[in-house]
Amino acid sequence: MSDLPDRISVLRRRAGIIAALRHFFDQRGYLAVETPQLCRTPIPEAHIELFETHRTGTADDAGTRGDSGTAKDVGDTLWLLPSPEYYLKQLLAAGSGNLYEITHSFRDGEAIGRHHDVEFTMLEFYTVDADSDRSLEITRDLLRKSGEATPPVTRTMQELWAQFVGIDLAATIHVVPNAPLPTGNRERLAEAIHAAGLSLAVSPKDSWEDLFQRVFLTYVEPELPRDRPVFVVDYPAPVSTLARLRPGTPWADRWELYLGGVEVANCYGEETDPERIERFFREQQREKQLLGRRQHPVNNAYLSAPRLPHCSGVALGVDRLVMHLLGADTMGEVVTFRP
Amino acid sequence: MIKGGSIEKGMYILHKGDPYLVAEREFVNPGKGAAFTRCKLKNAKNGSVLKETIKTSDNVEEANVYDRDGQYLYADENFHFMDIETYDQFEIPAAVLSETGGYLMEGEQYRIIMWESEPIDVIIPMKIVAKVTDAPDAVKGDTVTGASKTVVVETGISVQVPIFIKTGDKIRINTETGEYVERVND
Repeated sequence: MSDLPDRISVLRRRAGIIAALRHFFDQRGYLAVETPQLCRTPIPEAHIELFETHRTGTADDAGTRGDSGTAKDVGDTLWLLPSPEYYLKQLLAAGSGNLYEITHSFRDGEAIGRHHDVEFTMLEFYTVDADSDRSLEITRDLLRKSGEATPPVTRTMQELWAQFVGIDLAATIHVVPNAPLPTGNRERLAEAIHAAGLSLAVSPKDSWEDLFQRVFLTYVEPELPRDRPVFVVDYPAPVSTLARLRPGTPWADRWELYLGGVEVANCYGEETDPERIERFFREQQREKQLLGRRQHPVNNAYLSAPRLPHCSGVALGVDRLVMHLLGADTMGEVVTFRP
Repeated sequence: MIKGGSIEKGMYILHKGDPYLVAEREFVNPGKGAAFTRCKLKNAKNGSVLKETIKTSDNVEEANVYDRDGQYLYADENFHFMDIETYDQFEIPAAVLSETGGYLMEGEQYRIIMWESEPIDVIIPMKIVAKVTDAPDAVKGDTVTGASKTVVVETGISVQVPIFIKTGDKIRINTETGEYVERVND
């Protein structure tokens, strides 16, 4: 770590950016919170691998938390938080109003690279009575206040597919009135890939979502403009998330922000319908089974919490934002240490 | 079979039945959903390049490649080699060696990558030393620091060099970047 002395000045600039982020939300009355980095019931997302840890200690210390701590907690399993989402949503459901947190998140099983590590800093903020369009305006202001001088552009997923692969994405999605969720037409997308002359190898095992992701990552994402922030809006509804649907359309109330071609933030107009939320949890559990992943306890505290208010949430990778603003090539240049 | 997440740069994989060299590889974890390996693949039979993205959990078939030694003889529309034990001659299409063919030295021995009895690639050293066969004289009065000129070396390729390099000099070239490294004194 011979470059550590040089990095001190970078770390000062990083601290300035993070102070600006905090100032932005404090000034607008968002509640700054600190939620635990350990949890007993992790988020259900099937594709996120978790760091697991075990609590040692004696039976005597159980029950001393003054709340629900009981003897069965001793020796139990805890997970390092991959995202503060569920803690924050419980606070929202309890009436916190707008809130934000800047915290460390942990993900196992993902490749360490220039833009990613097993531990990273995440900003998550939620705005009540908002949809993803409102979050986009807020994020645009946040970018400007944190030092991004170039105005962003907004592109829909449909436009991007038309431009870079010549595929009418909407035509591969069924919107059935009164059906719970628009569904992807796998055959139609496979045919469109063939008709567009893409060299992508389509396997019979690929689902609509697999094909959507592979085409996007191969031909669309690498072509996104790098000279200005890009909001990619209107993600397809068949990609299962906790984003609300845009009723009567094939799209979800979701966007992602790209800076210099790198994905930096993800936003949902949050799903608040308890039935849909529970269905998402069940789907993810099933997906974990299919993948042969370990099943985790379901977050009943979250599922049984009062209904989430109408709100929109943004998760933003702080290290990536700092890299972008300071023109750094690797995450290692803008953090104190890599674990 | 290997997993998409185990693909490495420099590996050969089968794609739609053809052997492809993994020229670039990058892991991507979209904000939501499965992780993917994004690669640039080079067809080892005809040199065409394509992009592909594979789920890290999906199976990928490795191309069963092996080595043989061969002496480089000459190039016409293809590159011609000879097996030094059997004296069998074989050729590799020019398109396959579009990036590396210009560094092959006549008479030198190379490791040839084979797939199903077909030669599909040649391993070249990271750096080679080649004699300059054609160097224009430096323009008089051109004293700008770092000024360079283009020379041709014995393998037939052009290289950007500092202006003091003359015809007959030997220079070291980085074969990955195509850049001049230094002048070599015998």
